[in-house]
Amino acid sequence: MPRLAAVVLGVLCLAAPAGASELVVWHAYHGAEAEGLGEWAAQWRQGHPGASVRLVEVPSEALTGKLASAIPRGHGPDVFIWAHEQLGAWVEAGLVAPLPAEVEREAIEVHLPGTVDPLVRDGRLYGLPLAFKSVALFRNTRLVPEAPATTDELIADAARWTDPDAGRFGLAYEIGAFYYEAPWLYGFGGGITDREGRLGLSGVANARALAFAADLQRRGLVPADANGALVTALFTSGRAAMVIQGPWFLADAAGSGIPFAISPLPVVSATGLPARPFLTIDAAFLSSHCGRPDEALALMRDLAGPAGARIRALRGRQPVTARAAYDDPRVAGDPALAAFREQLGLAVPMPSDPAMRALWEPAAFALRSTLRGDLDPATALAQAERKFRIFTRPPPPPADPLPFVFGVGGLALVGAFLAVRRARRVRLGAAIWAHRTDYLYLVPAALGVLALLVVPFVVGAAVSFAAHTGGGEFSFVGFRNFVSILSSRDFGITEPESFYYTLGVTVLWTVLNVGLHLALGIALALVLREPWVRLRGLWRVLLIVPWAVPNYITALIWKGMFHRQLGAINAVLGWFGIEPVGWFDRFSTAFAANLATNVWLGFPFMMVVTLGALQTIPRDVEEAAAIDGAGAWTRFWRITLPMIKPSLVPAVVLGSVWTFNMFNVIYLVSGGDPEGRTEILISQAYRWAFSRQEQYGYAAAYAVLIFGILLGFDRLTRRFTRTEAGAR
Amino acid sequence: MPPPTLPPLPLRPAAPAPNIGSDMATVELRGVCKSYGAVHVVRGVDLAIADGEFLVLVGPSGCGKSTVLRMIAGLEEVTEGELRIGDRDVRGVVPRDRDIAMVFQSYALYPHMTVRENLAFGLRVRKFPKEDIATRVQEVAAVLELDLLLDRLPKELSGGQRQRVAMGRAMVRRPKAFLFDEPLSNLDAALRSQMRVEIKRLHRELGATMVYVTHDQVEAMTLADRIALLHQGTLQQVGRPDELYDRPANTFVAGFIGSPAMNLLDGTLGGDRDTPVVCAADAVIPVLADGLPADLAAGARVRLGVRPHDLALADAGAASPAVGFRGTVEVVEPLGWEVHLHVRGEFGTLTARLERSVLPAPFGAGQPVRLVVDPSKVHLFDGESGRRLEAGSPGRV
Ligand SMILES: Nc1ncnc2c1ncn2[C@@H]1O[C@H](COP(=O)(O)OP(=O)(O)OP(=O)(O)O)[C@@H](O)[C@H]1O
Ligand SMILES: [Mg+2]
Repeated sequence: MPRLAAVVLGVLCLAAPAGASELVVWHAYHGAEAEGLGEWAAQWRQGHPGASVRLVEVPSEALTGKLASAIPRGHGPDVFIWAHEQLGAWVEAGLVAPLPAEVEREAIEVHLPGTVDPLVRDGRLYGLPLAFKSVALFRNTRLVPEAPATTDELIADAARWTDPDAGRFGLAYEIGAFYYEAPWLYGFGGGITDREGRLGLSGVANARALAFAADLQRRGLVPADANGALVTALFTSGRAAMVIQGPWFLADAAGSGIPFAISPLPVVSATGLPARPFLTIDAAFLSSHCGRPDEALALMRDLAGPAGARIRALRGRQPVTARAAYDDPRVAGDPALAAFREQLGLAVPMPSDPAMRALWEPAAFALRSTLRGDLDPATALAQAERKFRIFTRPPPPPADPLPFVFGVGGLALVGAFLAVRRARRVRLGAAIWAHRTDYLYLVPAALGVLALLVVPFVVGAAVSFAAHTGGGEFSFVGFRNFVSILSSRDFGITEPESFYYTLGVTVLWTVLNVGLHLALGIALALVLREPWVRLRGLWRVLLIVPWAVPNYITALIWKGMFHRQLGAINAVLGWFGIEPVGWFDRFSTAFAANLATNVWLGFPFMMVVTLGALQTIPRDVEEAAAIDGAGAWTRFWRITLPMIKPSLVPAVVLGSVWTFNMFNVIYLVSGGDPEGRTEILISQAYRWAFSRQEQYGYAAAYAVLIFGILLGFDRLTRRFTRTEAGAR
Repeated sequence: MPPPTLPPLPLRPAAPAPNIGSDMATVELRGVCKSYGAVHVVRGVDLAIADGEFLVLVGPSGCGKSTVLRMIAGLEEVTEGELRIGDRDVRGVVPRDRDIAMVFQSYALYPHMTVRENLAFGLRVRKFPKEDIATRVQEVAAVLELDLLLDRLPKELSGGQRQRVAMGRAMVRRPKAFLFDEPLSNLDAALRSQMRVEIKRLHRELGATMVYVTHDQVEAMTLADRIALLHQGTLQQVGRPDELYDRPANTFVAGFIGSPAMNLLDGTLGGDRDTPVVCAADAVIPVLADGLPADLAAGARVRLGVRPHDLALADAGAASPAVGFRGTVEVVEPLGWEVHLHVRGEFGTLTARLERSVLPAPFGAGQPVRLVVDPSKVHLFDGESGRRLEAGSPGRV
C-alpha cells in the first residue's frame, strides 16, 4: 500500500512542473536506503535554507524508461540515483552531463579505490559514487564457523550439511542467473570481455566455470532453479548453510535470528584465482537538462561526500563509497560493511557498454542449458556468443527513401481517390450535413480513437521501416527489417529466434488455448444449466473469479505453483511419489505450464458467453431432439452447438486474438524458457525491442506482421461465417 | 449390424391388424404423482389409454396437463407411481427409447435445419438408410403439403406451415404414440378448426394412440374418443365427451365443460318423496324423483345445475306460477340466431340461452322474467363435496 501510494505520488510529482527553487532527485530506493536518503535530505535542507530538494521515489522497473522519455523533453529530474551499468546508453542518448574535471579529481580522493572508474566513460566522469554493491558469501556460523577460503573448502563445508531429502543444502544461490555465475567465470580465469574490452562469452575458462556450477547442482549441493525468494527462505529457515547474496539481503538475514557472518567469495581451487563478483556502483548522476547544474552539483557532492555517506551508512546500512565514513567507529565496526568492503577489492565492475544489455539473454540460456545438461558448456557458450553477435549486429544500412516515398505516396493517392469516389457515390458530405448533430456527438470518440489508436499505429508502422541507431536516432531502412525477419536470415528455421519457429509456437499456442477454453467453457456452461445443480449462482461466481483477477497476478501465482522446489504442483506430485518436475526445463512442460495458466485465465470468458447463448435457445428444441432419438452427445453436436454457434464465433475470434497476443502469461510464467523456445511472436517482439539492443524497428516490424496475421485471420473467419450464412 | 428398416407407413386406412404383444401402444398411469420439492403438481393420476385411442387431457391453466404429458414422453421423471407404455414399465427409460413422438406448443423446430432436415432428423439419428429416409420424408411432405417448402428454414415459414412441419416430424417415425401439447393454440381460429379436422383425419388414417393436451373444450369435445379432465393435479372425470357433458361427475366438471358454463346454485331439497323440489331462495324447481339417491332426506343441502340452453321462458299466465326462477334481465347478449340472457333474482344470477324467436317483441334489460326448466334436465350435486347426486349414488359420503 505505501508502495502504491508512492507510485501515485511519483506520477503526480512527475506531472507537476518543478518549482523554480527546488532541485528534484529521482531514486528507486525503498526501505532503509530510502530512509537514509530522506534523513540526508532533511539535514541538507537545514544547511541550505535558500534552496530545497525534493526526493521522488520512482519504481525501479520504471525509472530508466521514464528518464529516457522525460529528460530530452526537459521534464526529468535534476539529479537521479541509479546503478552505473546503464551509463553507456545514457551517454549515447545524451541524458547525463559530464562532471567538471576538478570534481573528478576530488572524487578519486574522496572515494574508495575502484568505485569511481566505472563512472568514467570516454575519459570523462559522469556521476558521483554513493554505494557499491556486489555479492559475497553469507554463512550460518552455527553450521560453518570458519569462512571457506577455497572452493574445495566450500564444497566440503557444503557437502557436510547437504541432504536433499531433508530439503537441506550446503549452498544456495540463484544458480540459473548469469549475474551469479560471473564470479566463477572470473575465478576460472575467464570473463565477459576480451583483451580489447569487447564483450564475448566463449572460451575454455568460461566453459570450465559453467561446468563447475553444473557440478554443484548435479551433486545436490545447490538447489536447482532457485530464485531469490527460495534462497532467502532456505537461509532464514536454517536449511541452507551458506548463500551468495548482496547487501540487499542484510535485513532478511538479520531479521531471521540466524547467526551469520559474511566473507569474500572463496578462491577457485583449480586456478588459485579468487572468484570475483560483478560490482555495481550506485551513483548520483546529473541530468543533461538540469537548469542549475552548479547547485545540483553541490547537492550531489554533499550526498556522495562524507556527510551524506555517514548518514546513508548508519541509517541505510549502505556500503558507502566515501572513505571518510569509515572513520566513524560505528561504520567501521559494522562487520557486514567491512566484509563487503573486502569483497569490493576483488569485484569486477559490470561493463556499462550498451551492448551488455544484449548479453544477458544468451548468457542465461547458455548457463541454464548447461545446468540442465542439454548442452556441453563449450557448445552452449559458442551458441550464446553467436546469438549475442546477431543481437548486437550493426543496424542495416540506410536505404534510399525516395522510391518508398513515391510508393507510399502513390498508394495514398489511389486510396484517397477511391475514398473520395466512394464518399461521393454514397453522398457522404450531404449525409453528414443532414445528421450534423449526430456526427458531432461522435467527434470526441473519434478523436480518442485517433489519438489512442490510429496515431500510435501509424507511428509503429512507420518505425518498422526504420532502424534504431541508438540514443533515440532512427534511420530509414525500407523493407530490410521485414526481409530479415521473413527470410530468417540470421537464424535456422528451427531456432527459437526464427520468425517461423515462433509463428509455429504461436499458432499451436492459440489453437490449443482456444480449443481448451471452448471445451472447458462449454462443458461448464452445460453442467451449470442442469437442473440438479445446486447453488448455481455461487458456482457461477466462483468460476468467473479466474477471469476477474488481473491476469498478471494469476500468471505470477501460477509461475510460483510451477516452481521446482516451492511450487504447489510439484508438492502435490510428491504426495504420489513423483519426482519434482523442472517445468521450465523442457519445451513440452514449459509450454504446458503456460497453457495451463492461460486456460485457467480464459475459460470463464467462453463459459459466460456460452451461458448467455444457452439462455437464448429454447429448451424444448433440445427436448424435441431427445424424443426424436438423439442421445446427449448427438444433441450437443447437432442441435445445441449449431444453435449457439452464432454467439460463439465472435467470442472465438476475440479469444484467438487475445491469446495470440497473450504477452503476460508467456513473459511471466515461462519467460520463454527453455532457451526462448516458448516465446510467442509478441514476446519475441518485446525481446527485440527491450533486451536485444533496442532494435525498435525490428520489433515494430514484428508487430506489423502480427497485425497482418490477425487481420488475415479475421477476414478468413468472416468469410467462413458469411459463406455459411449464405448457404442457408 | 444390418441397418434397421422402417416399418411401413400406412397413410391409407390399413386393414385392422390384431394388436398383440409389445406392439400394443397402450399407455397406463397408475397413481402417478409429480412434485417439485414441496410443490405437488400431479397427485395420483390413474389413467389407462387404449391402443389407437385419442385421449384428450383438458383442464384449466396450470392444472398439470403438460406435466402429465411430459412424464409420458420421459422429459420429466415420475415422482411416484407407475407408468407403462405397451407392456413395458418405462420409468427410467430415456425419451428416445419410448418410441413416442411429441408435438410442442412452440413447435420446437430445429431453427438451423431446413424443413427436410427437420423431418429427417429423427430417422437420421436412428441410422436408417439414406434412400428410405428420403422416400419417407417425401411421403410425409406430400401428405402435409410441405413439398414446396422442403428447402426452407423454419423462420421462413408461416405459423401454420411450422405447425405442419412439427406434425410431420412426429409422423415420419411412425411411433407407437403421439403426444400433442396444445399444438393449435398459436394459430388463428380459422386455421385452428382446419387443423383440427386434419388431426382427426390423421388419427383415423394412422390408427395410432394419441394423447392430446388442450385447455380448449371445443378441441376436446371434437377430437376426443375420451376426455380426461384434470384439476389441480387430480383427475376429475374420464369418459366420452357426451358423458362428461351429460353426466358431469362433479360441479367442477359441470362448470368446465359446456359453453356458456352450466348455472350452479345453492339450494335445499324440499317437497315430498314423490314430487321432490329444490328450493333456491324463492325459486322452486321440481326434480325427478327417480333421479335421487334413496337415502337423501328432505332439507339436505344440494347444488343445482342447469345448462343455459335448458332454461325456457315461462308464459306469464301459465300454470303453477310458483315454479321457476323469477328475476330481472340484467344484460341481453344477442348472438344472431340465439340470445344469452343474464338474469338476476334472489337465488343469484343465471345465464339462459334462448332462441331469439321466442322472445316477446319489446325485450331489454330491466324486464321481469320467469325461467323454467324440465325436471329431467336438472343436475344435482352434493352441497358439500360437489359430487353428482343420482339414483344409486350415496346421498352422504
Ligand atoms: N419446475 C417446476 N417447479 C415448480 N413448479 C412447476 C415446475 N414446472 C411446472 N410447475 C407447476 O406445475 C403446475 C402444472 O404445470 P403444467 O405446465 O403441467 O400446467 P398446464 O396444465 O400445462 O398449464 P397450461 O395450460 O398453462 O400449459 C403449474 O402450477 C406450474 O406452476
Ligand atoms: Mg401446458
